[in-house]
Amino acid sequence: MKRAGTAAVLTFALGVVVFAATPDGDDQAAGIRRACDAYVSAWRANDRSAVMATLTEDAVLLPAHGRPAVSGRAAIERMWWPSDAPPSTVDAFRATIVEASAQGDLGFARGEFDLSFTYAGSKTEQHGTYLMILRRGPNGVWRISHRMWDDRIAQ
Amino acid sequence: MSIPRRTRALSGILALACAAGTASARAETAAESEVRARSRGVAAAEERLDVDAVMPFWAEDAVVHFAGAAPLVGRDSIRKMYADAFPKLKSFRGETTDVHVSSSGDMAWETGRTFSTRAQPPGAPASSGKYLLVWRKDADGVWRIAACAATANPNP
Repeated sequence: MKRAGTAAVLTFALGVVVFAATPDGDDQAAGIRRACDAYVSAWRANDRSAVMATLTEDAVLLPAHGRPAVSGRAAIERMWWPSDAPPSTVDAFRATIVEASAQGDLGFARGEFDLSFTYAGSKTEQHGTYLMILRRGPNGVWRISHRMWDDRIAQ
Repeated sequence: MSIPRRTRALSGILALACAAGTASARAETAAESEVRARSRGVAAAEERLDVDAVMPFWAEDAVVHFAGAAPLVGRDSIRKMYADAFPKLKSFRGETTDVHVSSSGDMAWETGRTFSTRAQPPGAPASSGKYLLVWRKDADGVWRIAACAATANPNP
């Protein structure tokens, strides 16, 4: 059961991403798109440190399929990379940003994603929608503070 | 599994409530108070299962993401969602977990939980969900929901 659970959790984790161009040249929205791109690129590279760097310290994941919220970067990292389970690897990750908007130090992005990953030799695919909240830090860098996702096709 | 997935998701979407009991150690700004008041308003309308009372809280271009379906875009789609869901519910209640307003004072997020019970079959068990909202202060100075996503929570 652990294997299935770990795979599912990773699946949820990858639900997002970015980059469908938005029509305006707004710097804020561009910053959000960059943050989303960093998140996707990090997962595509299976780069744990890079993934975690895209999240705020107090980030909250709001997973699908009846799973509880996970709060804080440390808890999220333990969920995605449990110390007693083998790693999963992302094989393909495609996502679009349908909408990205920001005001002040707060913004959001939403869109759809298609994800494929392998865990212990078994491949899993997910197709879903996501909504993310992002926060701009004092250094001007946008990071993900909340992410909720679910299937876009009934399971 | 007595509660169909779609209805559970809809219940989650309806989850805009804002419980007064949400504790916060920090001082509440005027803008945050405005958002929480709006949240309590939509929660009360949802608890009454009143479609007409709920709709003014949504932005004209609002979007809803819920499980197993394409996003709902615009007030007409959202009204239809409520009109379909409310008659199937015996009760619905939302509870705010947290609210945060942007430094510019015109955008905010809200997280929370929902609790609902279907009207049929009699004695149907309660289900719960979690939600994430984006509030936007429109040009007329009124806070409205711009985006909402909802998913199921673990069953008790």
